[in-house]
Amino acid sequence: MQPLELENMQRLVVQGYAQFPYAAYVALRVASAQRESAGGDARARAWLAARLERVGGAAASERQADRLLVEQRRAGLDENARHKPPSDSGNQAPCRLALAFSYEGLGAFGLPTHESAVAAGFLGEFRSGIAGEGHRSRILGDSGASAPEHWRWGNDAQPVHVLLMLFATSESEREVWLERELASLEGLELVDEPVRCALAADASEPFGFRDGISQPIVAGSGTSKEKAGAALDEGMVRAGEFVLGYPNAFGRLPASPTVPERSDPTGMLPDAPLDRSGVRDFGRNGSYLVVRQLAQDVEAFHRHSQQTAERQPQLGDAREIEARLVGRRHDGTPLAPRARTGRPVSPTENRFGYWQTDREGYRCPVGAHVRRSNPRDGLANPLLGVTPARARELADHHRILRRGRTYQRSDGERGLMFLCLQANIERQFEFVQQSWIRGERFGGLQGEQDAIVGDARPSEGADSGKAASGEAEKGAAFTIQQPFAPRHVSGLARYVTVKAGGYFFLPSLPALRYLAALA
Amino acid sequence: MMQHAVTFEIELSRDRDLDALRGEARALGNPAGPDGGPPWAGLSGLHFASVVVISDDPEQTYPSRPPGPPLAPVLVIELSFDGDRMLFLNRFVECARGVLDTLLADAPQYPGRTASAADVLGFLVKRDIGADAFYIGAPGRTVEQIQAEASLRAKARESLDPDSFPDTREAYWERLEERLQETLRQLAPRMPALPARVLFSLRFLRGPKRIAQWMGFVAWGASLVAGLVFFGDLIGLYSLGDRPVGGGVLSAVGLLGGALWIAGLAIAGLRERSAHVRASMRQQLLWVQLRQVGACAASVAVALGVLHALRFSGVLGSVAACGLALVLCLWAMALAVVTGTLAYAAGGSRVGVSVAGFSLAACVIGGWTASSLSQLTWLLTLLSLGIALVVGGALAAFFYALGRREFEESVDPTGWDVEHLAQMRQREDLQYQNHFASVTWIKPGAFRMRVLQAVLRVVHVAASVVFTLGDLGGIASIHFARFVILRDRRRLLFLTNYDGPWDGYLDDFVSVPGVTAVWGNSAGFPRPFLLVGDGARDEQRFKAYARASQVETLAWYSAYPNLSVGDVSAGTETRLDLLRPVERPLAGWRGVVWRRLMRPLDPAALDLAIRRL
Repeated sequence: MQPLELENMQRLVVQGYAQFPYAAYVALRVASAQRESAGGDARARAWLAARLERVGGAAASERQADRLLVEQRRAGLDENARHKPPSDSGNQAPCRLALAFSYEGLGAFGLPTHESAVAAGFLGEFRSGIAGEGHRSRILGDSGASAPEHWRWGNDAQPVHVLLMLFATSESEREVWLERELASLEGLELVDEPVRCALAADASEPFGFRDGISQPIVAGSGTSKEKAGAALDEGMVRAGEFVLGYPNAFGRLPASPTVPERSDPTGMLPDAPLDRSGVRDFGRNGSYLVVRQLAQDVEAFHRHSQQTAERQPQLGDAREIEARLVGRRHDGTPLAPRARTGRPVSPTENRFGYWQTDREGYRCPVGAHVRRSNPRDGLANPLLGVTPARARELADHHRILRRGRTYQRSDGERGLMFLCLQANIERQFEFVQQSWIRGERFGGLQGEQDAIVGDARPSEGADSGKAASGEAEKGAAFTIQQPFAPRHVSGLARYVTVKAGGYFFLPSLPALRYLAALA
Repeated sequence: MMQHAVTFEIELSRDRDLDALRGEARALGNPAGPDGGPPWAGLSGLHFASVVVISDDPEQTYPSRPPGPPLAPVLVIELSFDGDRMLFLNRFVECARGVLDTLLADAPQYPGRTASAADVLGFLVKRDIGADAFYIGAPGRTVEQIQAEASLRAKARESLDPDSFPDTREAYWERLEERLQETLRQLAPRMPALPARVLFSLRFLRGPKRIAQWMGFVAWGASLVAGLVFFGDLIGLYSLGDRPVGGGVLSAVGLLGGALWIAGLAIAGLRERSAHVRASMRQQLLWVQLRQVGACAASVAVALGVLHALRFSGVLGSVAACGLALVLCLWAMALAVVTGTLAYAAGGSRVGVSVAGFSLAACVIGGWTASSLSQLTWLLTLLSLGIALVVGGALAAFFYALGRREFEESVDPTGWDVEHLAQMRQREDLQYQNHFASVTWIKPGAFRMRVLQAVLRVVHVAASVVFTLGDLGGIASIHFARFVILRDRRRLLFLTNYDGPWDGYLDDFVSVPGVTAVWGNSAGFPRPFLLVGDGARDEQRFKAYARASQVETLAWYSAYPNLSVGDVSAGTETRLDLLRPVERPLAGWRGVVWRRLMRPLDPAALDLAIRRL
């Protein structure tokens, strides 16, 4: 297997910055009037150049150094009082950055996207953007309250060029560094108030469930998880599913944007993978980043489960019902038993399937959130020749690397800052959202969506096609499979609203340097 | 009643304002919806219909267009319908006259507004290019039946009540039947009996894997017969005082192996059907190995047995045995090819591979057997050897020519034209089903045309004979699809009515060799390897190519836009499960057999029936 060039990647690709629990996401736009021109904006590039040294790299040595730094810092904070001025110099600063660009953003920084050969190398969905097409909003469910026109940023009215992600070890440090960043926006302007996020100590999201347990393990990433995974031969997904420049699940290199050789006179970028002359590979070691700010209506969610528990006591108490909707208990324990033993499992258990032990959905309902967002081997169909192993393989064509964190605004709005990385947005994020989360026929179900993040709710008005089939009356129901006949949880409302979003490209470190050095 | 495909390809005048024409066609609605206006709504028996306009831009670069004179624009109308073609087209002209008059106003030779319906019909019939390959997801089911069965299934689902179920599944099923009697009586007249072919396939064949198993059964039966013949021969020999003990041992081994094999198949089949049995991987492997051992033993024994018999029999016996060996050999060859292809299509099913392997072995041994016969059969043997050489040589030459072309032909780069994408996606995912129309340029030259025609023929036959259960080699999302070579002989049109999102649909194509075999003959398609390899497996490039070749579906109609192919099949199966008491076509022992076949009796099947709701 081809080893990953970790030293050239942004750290977000291999790690969620768990040692830096406090984060801020800053949506920025190139301010200058000349951003439309071909050359891009020189001040913005200078701003980028000044940030390069604090962009976190993925190299093992750097990650190790940061671990030590964080430990020292914690020890130091315990000993001396809290108000030690943060040290400023490069690597020693207790703050790491990650940078991602929208398609317009790349152009505004001077990438020659006006050349059709350069433009054609970027994914079509990345170029048209998350909010740019009626069809895309339709398949993602961004309608009604989630419609792009109501977004804070990422829509046509508030385009974003750069997403600056800032990770710090403590809340006070985050504020200090955020302030510095905001004060030094040379050539850029703030699109909206930064989104402040934190990792909860118990890793729970606002609905009270432990989050971020199930992640694909990237083959070759060299993390401890990967080593453990390699030993167990389970859940490994090929690197090309998430990073450009490596073979993907089909054994092919994902399409990677290229730039003309003349724009890179010093040879910062690697050669293009195919025998194409005159171009250099801008995409290698980069990744596509999907960002969605998802506001969660926590009260309504709990109220609904409480009411359902009162109305249908046979379903169990409110927490039991919530666990059925999600497919894991609040502490993370999956409802589906582990294969073979059939015994219950630990909260962070991730080695299980559905086909062997729970294909009917009697334990973990077929439409449960975790089962929809990663069906594992649950979609096997022997009649079509899809064995459980093949089903898992097919499901692995649609995995995403989640890098989300919970956020809380001063006005009380809570939710999840959803970030995910992939090499092919249409086949990964969009497919998961359209066919699994929102798929009304997922796993043989009929006319229902994910109970947690589904959007087709009675209040939104069922679309004409659905109404015609006569299945709209039941509205947002959730089926709990049981022997003989399923039970239904009804009256689900829309608990998650999209507040902002965007499709970004997370360039490699050399690509960042190349962008900053463009003339 | 079977379904038919009509594809009108109507040439338009070169100075026709295509934008205006497209606007007029768009007014018909995409999607038009089941109760959408004329011309579709009044046409009973119409499953799907679409209208596309294909124009030619000689400057087109992606997907690449081979050089050649510019072609006149054409308008294509796709119709998939029940029953007799001419009867339906008569009604179509009646219903769609106004629309046709508008769209085809200045098409060359169009009879015009004042002409009689017969003239218009004649004009259209002459321009029907049918389908070079046509696939139906749920063959044999009429529109009315599909809709009735869907409402029956919906009613059955509503009747399920988790709080009042009796103790046993059977009793539960009876209760359900009772509750639905009224609905059933109402719907029964709208649900005509299925053609015997469809019934047979619903009950006995379940995808390529099951077909491979059935062919395996037949092969085993043949070897059993051969073994018995040999036994008879042996007895004759014993009575003559000769003692070919070795032959007896061999045939005993053959029978034992065959028995093992059939037991393995049967048990594997049972295990597959049972929803609750959880065989470990090791057990499953064991069965596969047992089957393989059995198959090898049987084939060796049969071949040696035949050879043995020939040494002791007269001229007539030799000829008969030689014929048998040749038949076996040919059968095994066909079996090897078919099951090998199927196994490949099914993603390397173990059963298919083992049957194919066995057949190949039998083929070789059969040929060897045939070649060691008495003088009388030498001629035959030489002849078949000669044929084999010629065929083999031709095949080798063909694959050499193909491989060389594949290596040299240029491939389009991966790229996306966002404006084209946005336009194509505009009317997508408005309902569960979608429509996809694509026009690709066939690679120039007679060679590619011949290959394409042959492949389309194979796909067509396979689609209508083998894949009758709602899936095309594992693709379970197609209602009606067709490939047609346009009359200019330079372009290939693909029209499909499919379920769910486009990306997921194309994902299905990535793992099925058929689509590469067809589209691999189109200019710019991702490089295939020996017809079926690679090609579409270059997933991202393939999808980009498919999108780039897409033409806008201007108007589209579906009679049941929110039913999946699986829903259609499940509707029929629910009907068959529930309707047993109402529909009792045969009396006496045949009725008993019929009911046993029609009625799910074991708990697993009953469970499946309940869950199918």
